[in-house]
Amino acid sequence: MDILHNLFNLGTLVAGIRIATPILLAGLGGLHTMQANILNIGMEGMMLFGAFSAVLVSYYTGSIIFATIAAILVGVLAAVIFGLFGVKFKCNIIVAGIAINLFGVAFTIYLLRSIFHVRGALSHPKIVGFPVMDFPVLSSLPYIGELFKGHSIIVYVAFLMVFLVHLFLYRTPKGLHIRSVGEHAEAAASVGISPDRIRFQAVMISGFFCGLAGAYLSLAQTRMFVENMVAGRGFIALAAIYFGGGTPVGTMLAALLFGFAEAVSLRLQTLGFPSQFVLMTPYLMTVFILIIISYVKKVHSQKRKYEIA
Amino acid sequence: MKRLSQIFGCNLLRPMLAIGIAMLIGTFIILLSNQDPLFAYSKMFKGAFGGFSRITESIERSIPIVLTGLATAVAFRTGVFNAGVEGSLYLGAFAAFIVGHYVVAPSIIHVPLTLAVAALVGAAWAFIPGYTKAMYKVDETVTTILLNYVAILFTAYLVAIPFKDMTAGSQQTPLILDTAHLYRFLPPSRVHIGIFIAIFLAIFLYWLFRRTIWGYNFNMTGMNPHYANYIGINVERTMINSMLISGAIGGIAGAVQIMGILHRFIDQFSPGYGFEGITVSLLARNHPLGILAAGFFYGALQTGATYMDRTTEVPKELITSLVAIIIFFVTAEGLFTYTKQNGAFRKKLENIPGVRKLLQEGVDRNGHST
Amino acid sequence: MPQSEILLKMQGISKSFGPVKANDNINFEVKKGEIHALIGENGAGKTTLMKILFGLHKPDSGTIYFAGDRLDLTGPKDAMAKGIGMVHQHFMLIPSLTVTENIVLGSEPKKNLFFDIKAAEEQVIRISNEYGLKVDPKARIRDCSVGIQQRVEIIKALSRGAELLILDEPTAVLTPQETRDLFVVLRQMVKQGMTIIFISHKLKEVLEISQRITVMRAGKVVGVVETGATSEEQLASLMVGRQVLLRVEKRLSSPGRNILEVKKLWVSDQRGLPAVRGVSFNVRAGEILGVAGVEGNGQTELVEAICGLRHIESGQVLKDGNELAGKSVREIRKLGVAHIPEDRFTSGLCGEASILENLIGGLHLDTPFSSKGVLNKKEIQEFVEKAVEDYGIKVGSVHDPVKSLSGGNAQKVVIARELASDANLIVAAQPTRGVDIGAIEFIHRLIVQKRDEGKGILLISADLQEVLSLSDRLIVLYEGQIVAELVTRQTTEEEVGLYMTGGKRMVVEGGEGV
Repeated sequence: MDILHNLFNLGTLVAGIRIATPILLAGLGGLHTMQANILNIGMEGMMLFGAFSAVLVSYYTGSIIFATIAAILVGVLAAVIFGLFGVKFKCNIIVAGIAINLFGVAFTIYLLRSIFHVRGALSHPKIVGFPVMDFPVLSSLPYIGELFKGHSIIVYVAFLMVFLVHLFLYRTPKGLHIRSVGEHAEAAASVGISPDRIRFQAVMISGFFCGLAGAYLSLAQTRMFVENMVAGRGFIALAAIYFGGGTPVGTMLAALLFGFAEAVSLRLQTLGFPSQFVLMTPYLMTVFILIIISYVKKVHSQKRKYEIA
Repeated sequence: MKRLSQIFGCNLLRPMLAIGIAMLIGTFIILLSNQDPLFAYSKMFKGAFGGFSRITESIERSIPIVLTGLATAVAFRTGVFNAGVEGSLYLGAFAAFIVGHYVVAPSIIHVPLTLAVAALVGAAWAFIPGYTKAMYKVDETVTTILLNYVAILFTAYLVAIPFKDMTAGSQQTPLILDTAHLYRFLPPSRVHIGIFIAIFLAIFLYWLFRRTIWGYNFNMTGMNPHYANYIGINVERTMINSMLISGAIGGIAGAVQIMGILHRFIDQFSPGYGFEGITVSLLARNHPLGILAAGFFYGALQTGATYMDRTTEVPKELITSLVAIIIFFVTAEGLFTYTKQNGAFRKKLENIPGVRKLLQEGVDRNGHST
Repeated sequence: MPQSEILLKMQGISKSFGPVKANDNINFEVKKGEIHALIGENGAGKTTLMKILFGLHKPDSGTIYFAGDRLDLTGPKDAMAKGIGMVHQHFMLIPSLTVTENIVLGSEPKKNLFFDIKAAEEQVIRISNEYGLKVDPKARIRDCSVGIQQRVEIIKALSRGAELLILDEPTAVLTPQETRDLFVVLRQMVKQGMTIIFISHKLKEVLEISQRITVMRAGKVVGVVETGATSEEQLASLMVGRQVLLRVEKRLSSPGRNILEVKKLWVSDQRGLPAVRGVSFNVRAGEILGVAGVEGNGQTELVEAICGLRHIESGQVLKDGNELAGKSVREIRKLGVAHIPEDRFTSGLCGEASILENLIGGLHLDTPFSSKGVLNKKEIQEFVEKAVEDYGIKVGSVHDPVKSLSGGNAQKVVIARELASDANLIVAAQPTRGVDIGAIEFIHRLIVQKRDEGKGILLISADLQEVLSLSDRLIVLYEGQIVAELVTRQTTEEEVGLYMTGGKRMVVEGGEGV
């Protein structure tokens, strides 16, 4: 009983929300590329660039606003490289993703060592982090109010973004265009929408969110830059998108679920239990869901046996 | 030159050009950080090739890369994007530890047995995404990437709890038996007979692709699955077979690293050999002998970079960044213009009803299929 | 209804693709407020002409006048802006979006930053009421029937201000009831002042719906008639024309036993709709059975079903008494079925692979070309050299990619491979499409030669002349059914043309199925 209480208390939930935030942010970005039918595995690299730029600018200017802007701009810049090769120059999009990730990991370390002459991690009092705040009204609710207290401002921004992304994708012409290009590019082209331009824009939007997610990692979750600090969150974000059925709200729920799973595993670790199995669950669940979805599809179109993957 | 490009089955011009562009960009970056690019590059070259110990280190570093490159290429040839060699590598490596540590046998049996078990485990792991791709069209790129983490975390658990070497501080297993070691034939270097396994497998795959039914089926399924299906090839089974071979070689890659270099399983022992394999396979355009060359090139780059890092003010990560740039430029189909023939052929195709859509799908394959 | 005003005038339109003149000095006029039918065989140039009108192709010469203005179209968007709309045979709709979203896609009404769904739906309802095109604006396309989807396409064109609407074979995908509904809608639209170009193969429909008919053949306009003053017979003979047949030297056939027996076969198309509907026929040893018909009447599905590439819904396909239904491609091939597919570069060949590799496809699975999984290099080399020589395939090296070959030589690669297996049933679909004259003759002689060797041949061709000059017997497919079974010597192009276009049908034994 004690153990269970230790695992599943409000504190775990709060920790879960914080762990979920970067996954959610990147997931919201990747959602746009997914809706445009682009398999974006380059989010990892885009986040790293965002995380590093945030620290760099925060260190030199002491301004969290400039740091955030820099993270977003550099995230978009990384996305532009990814889009340039993946969309415009017709690299295999997966390969372009692998390359941008490789570039992200290596080049941020290169810059870290060239500029700051440190290895591993950079933490310094000059690095300014995001301010912490309580969410108005909700935080004063009894008991669950705890969930809305003391988070970094970006946490609230991230969850607000779910709403905005939903509006953007389902209520604006641009969102409609992204979805139509993803589903049937030829049909979209037939009414004068340029599929490649829309794809590129979707990639840039994903860069925006990944940059922000990176800034969260380096200036909210911690106040430092660590080599390869994204550590697979770009892929978990991808898993969250698939797990959430490709919708903003679904992605949010999946990100929260994965976040709580990790929070629980961290607790387990402190209690001496192996945490790996809990850490595995996001991946396993997503693979499982993907197989189920495809299996159901296959059963539905059982007759069309001649069709090849 | 002509002859060389025939052997490797690909045009060498584009990789050369890509390397040139990357070096140029690297020069700029080094200049921007106030260092001497010529000095850095020369140190890197010296680190990779300057003398016996440097060359052997390059070779040693390239053995697992060649193997993961070959593993990747088998799947790529069949049109299956297996990004999961890393997972097979970890599980194969752990299987190698189990057999190497617990089975008592003379070397002549112990070594092949260990490799065989590792290959089986790697293949079994790759079977999951292979089967679901072939039968249910589950996107194999996504599943293999996600399953990598499962494999890495699973072995992390094994090495953290049940198989941990209690005498060691870090997460690692006890040593495997001497009989399961791969012989180091160039002392004092650590170059081991795994290199012959890599060379053998490269030649074997070269032969397989050119001279066997399986190879033919792999190639055709990868290039035009509609054609493969029409002439009576079982496309689904072919995809699964190719994933099994890919996974088996991935497992062997992990085992070779354990049996030849580490002699125990260490948590997170791979610096991303699986992904390096993808790079190498792309550079060599999935050609087995090309992968031997590209794998050695990659290994040499890494050891050269480490040496450069030690002897100059330029961090070694610069070189990995340049590799990323090389990948971009090598695979950018749209950047280098199509040959005339290609363009004309495509046009011819587009005039045939129904084909346009197929070509479109080909482009969309770049994205993903839902 | 005043019908004198000319809305569209296309003058002296010519368009060539390589050596092929798809449109040869065409004059085409459409009056305001009429339904003008455009008919002709496959490859007559109708689609090319319409693509020029819709801005998808640029004509080599000629001018277009629309509503009194000269048009120089830069693309479909331009055509739409000028008031020309087109409903393609394959719908350009996005399944998961709603009817409304599809209709306004690309030119959405906006309210502030947002897409104004209300305004869009009102727009859809307005057009829908005006022309009697009933749709549910909130329904998702994937839940709509084909007939409704077509309506959505029409509304889409109308909402973009179309005054002239091109319908490319609109009834090809519709059920009879849906066709009747469409006709009601079209009449309503004309009443409201719309002008419609109606492309079709089906003469009955054309006679029912149109006011005037333009007939095309081999890239030329061969007749413009008032619908009231013509008949199916006249149209059919205009469409197929009277030309000197490609003569193929051949003796009378002496058919033997049944090699292929097809009984009450039902096959579905991609969308799961029945494409082959209760078809029964036999192919005997030493005869060529021709399958005539306008493309898209179930030929593709029939061939794929026989060759194991498509699921058989019901009925039997017996090859030398062996049931083929449920067997794999490999098993069917082993039973002695050779297949020359209609889509050479999609499935017949692997473009990137070498000529050598393409010549041994399928053969590579058996002796003598392989044993124990290993390819037999010497055997293959000998076979390939012989094939290249026997079939006169002009190659630089057999290691060149097959895509470097011309159409005729590429087709010879397919045929050399398929005939090498010594199968006694040869299914040849469009065997000479896109092939030069020399190669056509060669392929025709080869087919006759195989017949004389006692093999059974099922020849599917949209080229009526080819079917008539090659086959001994022929069946005509129309809407997935056999509407005629004829002895080739005893029929004429006109007669077959009439059957092909649905103008006439015989009672064929077992042909009706259910």
